[in-house]
Formats: sequence, C-alpha cells, structure tokens
Amino acid sequence: MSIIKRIDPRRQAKLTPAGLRRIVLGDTSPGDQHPSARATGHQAPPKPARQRQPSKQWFMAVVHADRGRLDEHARQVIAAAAILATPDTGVVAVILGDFSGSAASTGADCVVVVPDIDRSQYQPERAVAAVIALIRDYDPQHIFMPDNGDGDGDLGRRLIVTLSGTAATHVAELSDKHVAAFWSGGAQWATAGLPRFVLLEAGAADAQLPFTGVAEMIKHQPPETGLTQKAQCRDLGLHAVDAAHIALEEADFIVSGGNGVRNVDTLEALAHALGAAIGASRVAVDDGRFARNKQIGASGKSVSASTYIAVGISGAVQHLQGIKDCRHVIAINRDAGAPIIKRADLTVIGDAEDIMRALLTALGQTRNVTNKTEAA
Amino acid sequence: MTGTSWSVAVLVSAGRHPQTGASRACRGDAIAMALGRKIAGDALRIVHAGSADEAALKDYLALGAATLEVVPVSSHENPIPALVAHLKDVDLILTGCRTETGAGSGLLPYALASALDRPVIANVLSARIEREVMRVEQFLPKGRRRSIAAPLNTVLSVHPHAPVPLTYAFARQQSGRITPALPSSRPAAQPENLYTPLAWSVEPSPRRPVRLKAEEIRSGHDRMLSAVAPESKGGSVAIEGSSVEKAQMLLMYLRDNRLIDF
Ligand SMILES: Cc1cc2nc3c(=O)[nH]c(=O)nc-3n(C[C@H](O)[C@H](O)[C@H](O)COP(=O)(O)OP(=O)(O)OC[C@H]3O[C@@H](n4cnc5c(N)ncnc54)[C@H](O)[C@@H]3O)c2cc1C
Ligand SMILES: Nc1ncnc2c1ncn2[C@@H]1O[C@H](COP(=O)(O)O)[C@@H](O)[C@H]1O
Repeated sequence: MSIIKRIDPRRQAKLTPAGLRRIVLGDTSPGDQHPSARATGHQAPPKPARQRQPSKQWFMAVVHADRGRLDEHARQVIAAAAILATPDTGVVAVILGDFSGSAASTGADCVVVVPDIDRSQYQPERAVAAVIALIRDYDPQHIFMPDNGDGDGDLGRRLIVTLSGTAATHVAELSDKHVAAFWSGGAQWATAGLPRFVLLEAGAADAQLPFTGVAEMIKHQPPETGLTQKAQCRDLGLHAVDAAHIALEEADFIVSGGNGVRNVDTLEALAHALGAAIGASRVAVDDGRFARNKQIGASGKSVSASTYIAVGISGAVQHLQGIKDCRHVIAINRDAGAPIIKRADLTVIGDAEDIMRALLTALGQTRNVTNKTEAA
Repeated sequence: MTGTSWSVAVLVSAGRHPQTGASRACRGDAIAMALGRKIAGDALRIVHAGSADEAALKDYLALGAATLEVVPVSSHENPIPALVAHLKDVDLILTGCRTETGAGSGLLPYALASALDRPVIANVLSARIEREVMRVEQFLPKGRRRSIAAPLNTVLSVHPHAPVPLTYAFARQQSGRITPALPSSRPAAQPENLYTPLAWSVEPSPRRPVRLKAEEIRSGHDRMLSAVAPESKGGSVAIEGSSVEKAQMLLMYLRDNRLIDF
C-alpha cells in the first residue's frame, strides 16, 4: 500500500453563498448543503452529554444559589466534579436556595435543589443536617464546595468536623490524584492526595465544559430538624452597609460613568437611588470628574459586582479588563457601534443624561407604588 | 470590666510575615485579641497551644496581653484535645480566621466548637454582651452584614476587618509575662469529632496553580467555529423608543434578574 495519504475529491463540502465549494474538516453533517439550508449560520453546535455508563458511585458538589442563579465560583465547583468524574461516576449537585438556571450546562447529572435553605437566613444546623442527609443517600466519594466567605466555606467546615472526613481547604489546584494549596500566606506550596472534602478557591477550575450533564432535577424538602437539634443562634437579619462607604471591589452594584457623562450630579443621584457604588473610566477620572480611587480597569480597580451599569463608556479593552468578573453588564451609550455593546447583556442607545433622568423618574414612581401597596 | 460572672479567652497562634518570614503576631489573631479586650478588658485570657519559647508570642504582649498562657503541645501534635481540656470552663472563646503558618485552614474554631459541643460563628466583626445574650455582627461579602443573637458559650472566629484598634507598645512587651498554663486534668476520652489530617507534602517555593480544564477533542472545524462565534452572547440592544421606554426596559431587566428588590 502506498504511504501517500489519498484525498477523496468528493468528500464533504459546503457551498458558500458566493457559490464557492468549501471543504469542511471534521463536520459530520451531510455535505454539499447550501448554508441557507442551515439557517443558523455561525453558531456553536449543541454540546454532547458527558460520556456515561450507569452510575456506580457519585461525586457531590454543594453550592449556594444567588438569586436563582449560580455564580462563577459555584459553576467552577460543579464543573470540577464533572471533569474529575469517571464515566461510571455520576455528579450530583446540591443547590441550596431556589434555582431557576439551566442545570445541564453546569455538568451535573442530578441536581438536588433545596429551596428552603438559602443564603438570606442563618440556619447552619438545618443546612448541615440537610446536606448530611443527602450525603448519606448518595454516599459520594468526594464532596466539592466553594471556599468562600458567603456561606459555602462555613458550611463546608461544619460538614468536615461533623463527619470527620479527610479535607483540604483553600484548594488552588486539583486533579483526579491530588490537591494543592498555598500555605503560610503564599510562601509555601503544599500538595496531598485528593481528600473526601475539597473546598475550592475561585479559579481552580474552568467552568466552561465541552459536555453537558443529564441534569435530572429533584426538589428536596429538608426534614424539620429544628426539633432534634436546637438552633442555638437566632438570626436578627441582614443589612447592607451604605454603598458609598464600601470599597469598589466589594460592591455588588456599580454605576460607572465615562466620557459620555457630562453631569456627574445626575449619575450620583442615580447611584444613590439604586443603592449603588460609583465607578468611572480612566478618561472621566483624568478629566477630574471623578476621584482617582473610582477608576475601574487595567490601571484602576478590578470589580466583581453582580450589576454594572456603564454610562457613556465606550468599552476599551483596558476598561473591560476591570469588569470581567461582573455578572450583569448594562450599557447606556449614544453610539450603537461602541465596543461595550459586545460585553453588555443589555444596551440602551440614547443620550446618557436623558436616560438617567428617565430612570430616576421611573425609580421615584415605582418606589412610590411599592410604598403605597405596603401601606395598603 | 469587673464583677462579670463570665469568662472570655482568645486563642492566638504564632505568625510569620509571608514575604520576609519574620516571626510576628498573627494579624488576624491580634485583631481577635483586640476584640476580646474590648469585650472583657483585662480579664481576657490569652491562650496559645505550642511552645513558650516561640519568638512570635512576645508580639502579643506588646499588643496588649499582660499574661499569655501557653498550653504545652508539640508542633506535630493536634492542639485540639489540649485546648478542649484547658478551655472547657471558659464561656466565650475567640479565635482568628486562619493561621499564618502552615495550612491556615480555619478549621480549628469549628473543630473546637464541635469537640466542646458549642455553637460557632465565623467572620465576626463585633460582639456585645447584653444580659446573658450576645449580639454578634457577621461579615458577609458585597457589603452585607448579619446580626445574630448567640448564647454566651459560643466560639467566635473573628474577621480581619473587625473595627478594633491595634496599638503596639514596647513597654508592655517588657512588662508582660508568658506563663505555662496550669496543668489541667485531661479528659479520659478524646473528643471524637476530630477531622482526619491529610498527608501534605510542602514545598518552599510556590508555583502558579494549573487550572483544571476539561479535555476537549475538537475538530479543526469546531475550533474555527468557536473562534468566529464565541460562546459569549452579545446582549440585547434597545435602539428604538423614547428615553422613558428605554428606562422602563432597563428597570425591567434589573427586576427580571432580581438585581433590585423594588
Ligand atoms: C496603558 C493604558 C491603561 C489604561 N487603563 C485604563 C483603565 O484602567 N480604565 C479605563 O477606563 N481606561 C483605561 N485606559 C484608557 C482606555 O483605553 C480608554 O481610553 C478609556 O477607557 C475610554 O474612556 P471612556 O469610555 O470613558 O471615553 P471615550 O472612549 O471617550 O468614550 C465615551 C463614550 O461615551 C459615549 N457618549 C458620549 N456622549 C454621550 C452621551 N451624551 N450620551 C451617551 N453616551 C455618550 C460615546 O459614544 C463613547 O462610546 C487605559 C489606556 C492605556 C493605554
Ligand atoms: N497552636 C495554636 N494555639 C492557639 N490558637 C491557635 C493555634 N492554632 C490555631 N489557633 C487559632 O485558630 C485559628 C484558626 O486556625 P487554623 O484552623 O489553623 O487556620 C487561628 O486564627 C488561631 O486563633
């Protein structure tokens, strides 16, 4: 046989709108199709499900939902469990708090939602009891959790001491064999075998998965454990620190002004009405309209707010770098071609001043409405 | 504060400066100690499990400890059983969030509370005692705080942002004393709720962690596709309409995603 690779001249090809024949590598869809027949055009193909055999054992990820969604850290933790799972291992994601997002894209094969136990209430005994009951049910080999200051890190440590399993916290790197973490404030690097409880730092795993999970959804009603276990601490409620007094890096809601904002007073009024902190682009800071410590971007601060409203900001890469961890980005801009639009989840085209004023009026109105209904 | 019937202790560990490696008081534990002094004044007991020769301990004297009790524990031994025996009659126990040397897992307050069968509250910013109940303020990310009413016999791990002053005085470092703790009768039974230690191997030079990524077998075509059509969607764009309508749309987005609650 000849060692020269032979090329089939009639192999799969597509016709472009210009009538050119283009050979497509690795595409299994029938060839010689006109692209208009696949009206979707350029679009990522749907992801396949993770290769599976019936589950002989389980990995578990336990995360809190935030307002019905999972944050990046939580998604990374479920993804880590799904990546490390062998084909005969199922991934069960326990989501505390109500959840309305897509379960399959997280990579989980089974999603247990415990809507009763969410972040807004302090009830560690109930959370521990509910998760332990689930751990008894599934008997997972490994339990993955985010190591954060927002409930998961606390719950994880309670589980570790209650079940006295092997555990690693602040895990910055992991594989199917090992975990590794920084020790002594970053001066040392320690590795160990993969323990039963793995509390992951943010960024230890990539949340983007090439596959999906089976994602069977189960709603779980935690047993009333208040009777067996006395809740020793009483929750007196949450309150927010005035947004103007917390560091930008910590803020959850930021209204940010750029070169398109002429009237800073309007922006400040809007931020106040929304309970948001104020940020700015470099041009606006250089111009003296905002203080230097408000600058967001490559040479300013990196923020991780859930909501970021960019008013009159073009969206230069240096600015986008600072907001890469923001979840919902909303842009107000005059220019329908500004690069911020590619990043924003919602863009409103129009004059910044007009729209901010309209928002302020609308906020005034809606606030009055809620007040009235409360009074009624 | 005199005439109080309850006792307060703070646990302090030996710290190291992460860059220079110099012995020092662990920052977080020094803040816990300052909060303890705010609650109990000079009646606060300051406890370390380890060796009395530890150089870092002198720092705590300078930061306001008049006497520091050292429970003898060798460095490879789990300090929990000794601490449980030593602290079982103390009402309120404060700790830092994590140690500066070694794992700094922050598990000790949980293990201690579990062994003593007491509640534990993490990330505490302040605590006030009002008639046999304690009012605790807890730090949460994103500028939120939570208030909790807790019994006196709670273990509190103190957040490093707790608003307490730290003042260093050389004179106090000279006048303070480091004393071995009075030997206490150890409980016959070891507390069962000890987390199992892992076998760690430690390297002195940290490296960049490798991110866990899913292995992807993709054809050239798929790679090209993902380059031209990245998964990130550009969002919706509102061009038409008056500014009032656009403002309504923006508000609707905020409400739909539960980003505002009014
Ligand atoms: C090394 C380096 C580091 C940098 N670091 C940073 C950084 O950390 N942070 C940062 O922000 N920048 C940084 N920059 C600058 C960055 O490249 C951009 O120049 C800057 O972000 C642009 O700011 P802007 O969007 O406010 O202004 P412009 O680019 O002037 O954009 C203004 C936008 O507002 C819109 N607009 C104008 N008038 C109105 C109106 N009436 N109503 C509505 N919209 C209106 C316009 O359409 C435009 O899109 C850096 C640059 C360099 C070279
Ligand atoms: N050897 C020790 N002696 C006294 N307190 C300690 C000791 N080790 C840890 N602690 C306390 O427990 C907290 C958490 O420690 P760790 O769980 O080791 O990160 C620290 O901030 C200290 O307050």
